[in-house]
Amino acid sequence: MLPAIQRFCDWLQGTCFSVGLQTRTWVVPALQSVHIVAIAALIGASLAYSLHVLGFSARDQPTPSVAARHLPIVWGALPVLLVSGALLVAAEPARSLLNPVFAIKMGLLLIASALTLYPQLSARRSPAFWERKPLLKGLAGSTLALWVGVIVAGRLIAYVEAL
Amino acid sequence: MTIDEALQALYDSAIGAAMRENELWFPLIETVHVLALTVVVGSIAVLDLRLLGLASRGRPVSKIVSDVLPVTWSSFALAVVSGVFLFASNAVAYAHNAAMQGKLIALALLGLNAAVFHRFVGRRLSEWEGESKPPRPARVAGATSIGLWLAVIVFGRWIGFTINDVAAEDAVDPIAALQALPDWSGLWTPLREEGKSAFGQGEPTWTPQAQVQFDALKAAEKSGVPRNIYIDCLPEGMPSYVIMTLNAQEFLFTPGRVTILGEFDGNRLRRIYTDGRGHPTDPDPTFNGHSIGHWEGDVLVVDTIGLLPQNFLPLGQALGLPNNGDMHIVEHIRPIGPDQLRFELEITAPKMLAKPWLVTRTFTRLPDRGAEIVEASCRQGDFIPGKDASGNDVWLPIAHDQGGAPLPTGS
Repeated sequence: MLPAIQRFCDWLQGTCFSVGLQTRTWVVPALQSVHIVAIAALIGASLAYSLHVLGFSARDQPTPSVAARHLPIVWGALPVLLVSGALLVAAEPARSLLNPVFAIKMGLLLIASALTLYPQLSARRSPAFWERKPLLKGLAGSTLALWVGVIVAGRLIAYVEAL
Repeated sequence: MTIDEALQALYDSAIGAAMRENELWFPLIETVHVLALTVVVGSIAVLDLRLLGLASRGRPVSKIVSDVLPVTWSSFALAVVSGVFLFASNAVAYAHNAAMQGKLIALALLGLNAAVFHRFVGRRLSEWEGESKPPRPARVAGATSIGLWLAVIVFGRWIGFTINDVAAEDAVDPIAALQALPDWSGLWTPLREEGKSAFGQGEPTWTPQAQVQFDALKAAEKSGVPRNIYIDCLPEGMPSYVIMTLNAQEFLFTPGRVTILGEFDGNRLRRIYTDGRGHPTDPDPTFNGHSIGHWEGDVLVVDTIGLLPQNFLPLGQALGLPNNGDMHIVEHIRPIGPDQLRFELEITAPKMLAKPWLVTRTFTRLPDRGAEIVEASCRQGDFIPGKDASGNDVWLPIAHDQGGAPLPTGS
């Protein structure tokens, strides 16, 4: 598996596209800036929803309306994150693809996305889902923790040596 | 205290030192900083978008404020504290970084924007907060806030990509650093009067056993049968290189190094590393040892170890004992006039000296700056130019009598 990823990194790094990204020094910081802005949008929206569900803010609002206000932001930010993230990988393939912290980040990302999606899909099938407070609280708390984990892992990619 | 001095003090502080020395602190605190920053921006954006009338339009502004501002302010405090820690790690370089300056200006403008908003539009909040589209000044404040926060993020991310370049720019150019050094060009010759005695410093304090040997040497010298100590054409080595030599020296300043060139082949050169390196842990002993140095103003301070145990502790051409090992020499090479350099040596030799020996030697600069060092080779005097059987130019050994004196060559 690892040799295959290494070969892929070598190939990707040599493509015209990757070389183009590598040789323009403003590209990586610009992409990282876009990436962080999108993370801010995501974590802000996720936080607003989670704090409400956990009973800390907007307690006078019904949960469906808070969810309708904030969760779409998460789904708006995620494509931006995926595109800017993919471009960052293309610019420096080995830095991420061969980095164990990157793998951890992707794992946490998948779980966090699934846990964000789950209440929305369930509520679409049955609005009564919004009444299952303990489950919603558990989901909100763990989703928030997972997003924090994604951010922490993301920053630490820069400090952990690729294999 | 200038700003740079204050920044340097922050750099030298316990926080700054810990941030540089502990490998984990910087990445972890930076992660906290990024996390706090995303929460600040992500939460304040909720309010800004409401002020712009783009989101949460059905909810009064004051409700949004109480929803998000506690989160914004607490994470902002975390971002500031973690930011100060990061800043302390390299305070001077960060302060001189253009992206850092841009980020701080953007933060100051954000404070101004908030103050203006509260002073004017915010005072009449109850009049308009229910409107789905707030009045123009509120919309401007929201847009300004979003724009400035984006600038904070972009500038902040740019710091990481420019700080090393800036550090390199700010670091002293090694060639330019040479310009700051004193002018020690020309040839420096030792004062003979000093060279003939213990340089007016008195004799070293020998160990009792060494004192017995030294007294015997002195008696031999007085009785007219001195035992010369530099008779074998081996290099004199430190400290004789400085305190006993009769030959000129010259200094070469190159980046990270001072080289002293001696005139006589046995004293040909000393390398003094001024690039901040330390001594090797287990140096191979040599005649001139391993020297590291640094500048204290116009004074070059040199620390030398790794000297051969056979090197003499000399008080004259026929008066000296070997150091027998573990010798350590600290020199202050100090200008004491426009054309005078004084070498101040503190010689520690525990095998022979009961306490460190303080000794100085003064060198004067030849007025003729064009003077050149003469090539001199110790063993050249044992040979005479001649021809071999094929007529080639070769060195022919000079015959010596039984007492070691050269015999006439006949030419």
